[in-house]
Order: sequence, then structure tokens, then C-alpha cells
Amino acid sequence: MFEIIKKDITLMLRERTFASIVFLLIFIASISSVITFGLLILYNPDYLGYSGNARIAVVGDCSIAGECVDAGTAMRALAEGRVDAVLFITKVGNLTYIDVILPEDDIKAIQVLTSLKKDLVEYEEKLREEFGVPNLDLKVFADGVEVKVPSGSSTIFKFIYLILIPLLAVTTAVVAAGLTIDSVCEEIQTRALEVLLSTPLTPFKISMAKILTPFIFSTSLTVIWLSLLSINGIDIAKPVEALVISASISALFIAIAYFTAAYFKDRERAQLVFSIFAAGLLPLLVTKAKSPAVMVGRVAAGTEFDIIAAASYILISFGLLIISPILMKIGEK
Amino acid sequence: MLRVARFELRKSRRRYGKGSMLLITLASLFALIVSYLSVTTGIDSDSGIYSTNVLINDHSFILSDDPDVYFDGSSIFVKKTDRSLAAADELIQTLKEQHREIIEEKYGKLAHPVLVSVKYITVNLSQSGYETTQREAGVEKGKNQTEKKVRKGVEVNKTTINTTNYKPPEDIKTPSLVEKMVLAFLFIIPSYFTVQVFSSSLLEDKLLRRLEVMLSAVGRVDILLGKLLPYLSLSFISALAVSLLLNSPMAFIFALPVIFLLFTAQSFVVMISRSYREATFLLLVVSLLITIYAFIPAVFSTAIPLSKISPITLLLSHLRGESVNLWDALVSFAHLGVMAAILFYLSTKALNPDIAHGRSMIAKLIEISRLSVRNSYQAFLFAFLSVSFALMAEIFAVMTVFILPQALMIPALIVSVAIVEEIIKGVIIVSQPCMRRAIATALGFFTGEKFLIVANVLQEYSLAFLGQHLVFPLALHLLTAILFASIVRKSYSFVPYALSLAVAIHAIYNYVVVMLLV
Repeated sequence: MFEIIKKDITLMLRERTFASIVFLLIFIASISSVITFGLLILYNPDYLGYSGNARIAVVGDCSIAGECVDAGTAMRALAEGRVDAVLFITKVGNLTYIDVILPEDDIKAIQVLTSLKKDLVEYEEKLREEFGVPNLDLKVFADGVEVKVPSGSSTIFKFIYLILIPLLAVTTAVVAAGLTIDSVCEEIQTRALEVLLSTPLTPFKISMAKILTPFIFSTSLTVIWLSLLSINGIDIAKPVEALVISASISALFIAIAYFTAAYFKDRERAQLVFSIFAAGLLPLLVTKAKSPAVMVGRVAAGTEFDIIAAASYILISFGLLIISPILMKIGEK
Repeated sequence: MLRVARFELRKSRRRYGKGSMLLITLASLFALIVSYLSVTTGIDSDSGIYSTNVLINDHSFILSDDPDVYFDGSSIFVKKTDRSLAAADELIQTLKEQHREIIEEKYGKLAHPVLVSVKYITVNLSQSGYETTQREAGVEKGKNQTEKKVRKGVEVNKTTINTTNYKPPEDIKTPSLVEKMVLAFLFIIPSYFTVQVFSSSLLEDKLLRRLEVMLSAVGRVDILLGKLLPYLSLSFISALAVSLLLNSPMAFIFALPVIFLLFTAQSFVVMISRSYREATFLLLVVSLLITIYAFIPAVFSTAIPLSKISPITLLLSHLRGESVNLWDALVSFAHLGVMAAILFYLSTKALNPDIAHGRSMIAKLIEISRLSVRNSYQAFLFAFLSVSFALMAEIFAVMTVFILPQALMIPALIVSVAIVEEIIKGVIIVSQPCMRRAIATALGFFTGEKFLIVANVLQEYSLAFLGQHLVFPLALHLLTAILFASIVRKSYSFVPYALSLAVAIHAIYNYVVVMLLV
């Protein structure tokens, strides 16, 4: 049995399989910064670092901003690009209505709205004070010193621990499952299995080797990406627990992939059915607090997680992985 | 070609009998039900992820004796950890919302004395004045119905703007693409499954040597086109169905270049892979790279003009009802189309028993290069067209160096650009390392770079990609290409040294130009 495991691992290393998947993981980790940045732009355009004021033409009530112009002049200035936005301001009683007219240009809209929003919120707070409506004034302190909390910190934190890490755990499991299907189907389709069966190896031992190789592979990968995250400055609070829960996802996926491959005996159908199954599971795995993938992220973040649920997943997954070659042996008549 | 397509369909019909179809249907039903339940039951992955000392009406917080953030009613106390700062950010947002509810209840309309409505307008100047076309910003209706009746509109030189939606300034949102991004994925997701079945079928035919049997009777192009046709058609139909479902019948056109690139890239990977294992991982890497390349620029479509190089960015514009510039569409389609066409051509060349079985990956690439580029004219053309691959690789380099400290970003980008360009030129030269091939390749690559500038793709990024000069880049490409060819000519074992030298010269040139320009 260990000879087959050794052969499969040697083949993986020779074919640069391992290298390509490590490259993939490093690449995802690198690109994740860009994705995070993209999300922050969508969430809070201030991150782009726009500064300065937008050039604005005001029509109507001029109590907010200096000089007023008539509508025709303002719109012509907008059309000619001399101003970035036109504000039509009308007061009705205590309320100030503002129509912000922007050119059909998203980049300009982000710049103008970012600058304008800050000014308008300040103006709103000033009016509230005049009308006796209290404003919220919060101060944040760290070690007795006032600090500014970067807007969007929570978004980044949740993205890393609740999306990126669960996705890495699932990707590792999917890759291990793909490897299982390839390994089983290749032996069957190229008739190498018949040769193996003519040796003292039993169908059970061959089947066991076919699930242990991808499991060793996925566990090594998990160690690598957990280390890479840690090197990248992302704190992994409980690395051992994160590794065990992540390995349990791989174990479950490998067991299911093994059953699929042993049943279909060809790569095309086995990969298709498994892909559909995995694609269906993905939303569940990344949206629920009790999903094992999210638990990997929560454990890494050092936050609360359901220990009973985690223990149940680990028992079921590893149990299923170990009994899968007993339930279904490849090459058995 | 049609005979091969019919063979492919017959093969699939035999393979996907009643039993298999039943299991596939069951797996699909399972996937649909689980996805539906996941979406409808909401996201709770962040419940209790932070802790506080007081009860907060936010599912992200739980009570703790050792909280991430401590709140005393007016001030927040944090630890110097990422989690504590993130918790403080979340707490501030929650407290702001609670404060807003309190003042809205107590002070009514005075809680929001300023109400804003954002409208996007296309203004066209004309001799008699101007015309406007308006798009309302996506905002919630509700709170300000009474006020809306008071103001019926703002008169703008005979064009009445209907003011229907007002909201407090803190609710102003910059244009968001998240929802549209999900819709864009719908166009491509079915293709992931069809392309997987296609690559599996092609790989099986290759490994079981069926392709060699076919080659004795049918041409390479016909075999590959015949194998592609059923699956490509299915993908096109699924994209069209999504288009019709979204009531945007022409939207699917923007997804076609991405789908075509996915298929041709997978064909090429299958042709150069030695086993199922190798193919699986390379296919995964290639699919991921294409997906990232198509979708990530679209995330930045509000900020980076270069994002229009992706058809998905244009698809999102089309879905938003904006008119897509024909030139932008042509450039974007040509960029992906050229890459897809090259990969298809290379796949047909790789459809060769000598390349299909055995040999190392490097040896295969050299052999494919030898079969694909036979003279100087072809070298020029290949180098010219391969600028598309260079652009793709360099955009990936920009994304990747993003994680580095600021001081290292520019040097890393400079070296990455040099590596990408010298590898591409090297691949074309390596099969026939002579002076004519080197000059043709350098000229082709240089012309391709200039074409990108003329096509306005790199106009705003010429500093980053160093394409704004005429004589120096030409001299550089000629120098590195000729050096590479002269060294490799002596022995193929010198390829790594020749490439390193070319990269080093290219990187030094880039560094000097950047230093002089900045």
C-alpha cells in the first residue's frame, strides 16, 4: 500500500502538480489584496485617496455654498466640464432639499460624491445643532491615547477570516477531491489497475492508498497556506485547530470523490457529478457560522465557534474517509 | 468537422445513459436546493465574531468578560489588535444606526434637515442650448413621501428632472457594481461545467490515443473544431438564455470572448498535459486565471479606465443601460479573441503524437514553437499578436506586486514586466535562434506595443508600461532578442542564462527610464 502512496506522491512532484497548486495558493493570497482593495473601493471610495474639493455650481438657495448661478449657466458649465456637479438647492420650511446632478461618469461620481458627502454630513450636523437635535460624538482610545479607527476595518477583517480562509479550506478540499478522482480513474481507464491486482496488493490496499495520498497532499497544502497567511501578517490564533477542521473538510470531499470515481469509473462523469455537488455546497460552506469552512476562519480569528459541531464534523468526515475503501473497493469483481 | 462533432455527440449519448443522467439530475437538484436554502436563510457567518462588555443589538457582537471593545456609553476602548480595531469599526457603525433611530423617533423630520437626491445626466451641447438624458441613482423609496409631493421638480431649461427619491447625506452611496457582478457570473458559470466535460473528453481521447486514429483520416483543425463545436454551442446557448432571462438580449455577446478563451485555453492545456493529474491542476490554474482576468478589472471599473479591456466591464455597463463605446468593445473583444485564436492554433499544432505523449513541458513548448513559427514573417506576426498575452501577464503582475511594501512595488513591477516580455520573445526565438528570427520578433513585439498605445489601451499607463518612447524600446527589444538568439544558438542548455541576461538588461533599462521620468 505504501508503495502506491509513494508512487503517486512521486508522480505529483515530478509532474509539478504540487508546484502548480502551491503557485495557485500563493497567487490567490496575493490577488486577495487586490480583491480586498476592490471591495473597499465599492464600500468606501475614500480608500482611493481622493482629496480636495469637487468643483460645484449651485442653483437656488446659496446658504450652503457661496455664489449661485442660474440653471442654464450651471448646466452649460457641467456640459463643458468646467464644474464636476450641479447642486439645485431648495429650502422647504426647516428642510433643505438638494438635487445633485452628476455627469454619466462613474469615476467622476466617486470623486465628487466622496467630497460632497463629507461636506453635506457636516452641514447636516450643523443644522441639527441649530434645531437642538443631538449629534453622536464618539471617541476611541487605545492605551489611554485617542486613536482613529480606519473606516472599513471590519469589512477587511470579515473578508479575511470569513471569506478568504474558508475559501482556501474549500479550494484545498476540492483540489484533493479532484486528485482522488484522477488517481482512481487513471488506474481504471489506462488498465493499470489490472496490473496492480496481479501483484500481492489487495483491492482494499489499493483503495486505501488512493484516499491516503490526496489526504497527505491536502494536509501539507493546508500547513503551507496557514504558514503563508501567518507570514503575510494575518494572525492565526489557533493553528492546530484550524488545521484539523480544514483537514476534516478535505477528508469529507475525498471520501465523496472516491465513491463517485469508484462508481462511474471514468473521469469525465465523476468530475462532472462531483463539480455540481461541490458547487451546490459552496454557498452553504461560506455563509453559515456552523459550516466547517467558516469554523476554520473563526478558529483562525480566535473567535467563538461551536465546539460540538466541529467535533461532529471531524468524527463524521474522518470516519467516512476510513470506511470508504471498505464500503467500495476499486478493482473488486 | 461536423463528422467529428457528430462522433462527439454519439460518444456523450452513450456515456450519459439513463443511470448517469439520473445521478447528474439528482446532484443538480441537490446543488440547487442547497444553494437556494443557503441564500434564503441568510448569511450568519459573522454572528458573534466580536465581543463587547455591554449588550449591543447587532448579531456580530456577544457579551464577554474580556471583550474586544469596551464601551462606557460615550467612549470606546480598544486593544491594539486587528480584531479589536475591526470590532470598534463595527460598533461605531451600529451605534450610529441606533442613534439615528433614536433621533428619528424623537425629532421626526428634523433628524434629517438635509435631504439629497443624486441623478446621473448625459449632457449634450447643441447650438440652441443642451439636451440631457437622465439616470436616477438607485435609492430606496419610503421615508420622504410627504416631502416629495411638496417639490414636484426642478426646471432645467425646459428639461424637467423628476425628483422622486431623497435621502440623508450619510446614505449617499457611490456607484456599486456588486449586484451586477453576480449577474455577470451567471453568464459564465454554465460554461465552467461544459468546458470541464469538453476537456475531460478531449483528454480521454488523447490519453487513450483515439486522437491519433482520427488524425489518420481528419485534419487537425477539423478534429479540434469538431470536438469544440457541441460544447461551445451549449455554452453560447446558456449565455443567450441568461441574456433573455435578464431581459437584455444582446448582453450575451460580451460573455462570448471569455467563453471562447476558456475553451481554447483548456484545449491547449489538455494537449500539453501528460496525465489526468497534471491536466486537472493546470486546468484549474488556467480557469482561475481567466476568471480573475475577466472579472477583477470589472470590480475597478469605477476607478481604472484600463478596466475596459475586460468584456465583463462592458457587460456590466450594458446591463446598467449605458451605451458601450464601439472602439472599447472592439479592443476588448480583439484582445481576448487574439489570445483565444493563438491558443487554438497552438492546440492544433500540439495535436501531434510526438508532443502529446512523453517529453517535459519545456521540450513540448519548444517543439510547439518550432511547428507554429516557421519563418521570420510568422515570427513578426506572432510577436505582434502575443502582446495581448504580455498585457494580461503584466496586469497580473500589477495585481501581485500590490501586496509588497511601497518601496518594493516599482522594482518588483519593473522586473516582472522584463521577465514577461523576454519570456514571450524567447519562446518565439528559441526554436530557430538566428539573427533574422530575433530581429523579426523584436520588431513584431515593438509594433504590438505601439499598437496598444495607438489603440489608447495604455495611453494613461504608459509610464507604468514604459511604452511612450519610440527609439529606445526598439533598440532594447532588438538588443535583448539578438543577445538571446546568439547565446541560445551555441546550446539549448544556455537558455536559462540567455533569458536571465535579457531580463537583467530589460529590467535595468526599465529602471533607468522610470528614474528619469519620475
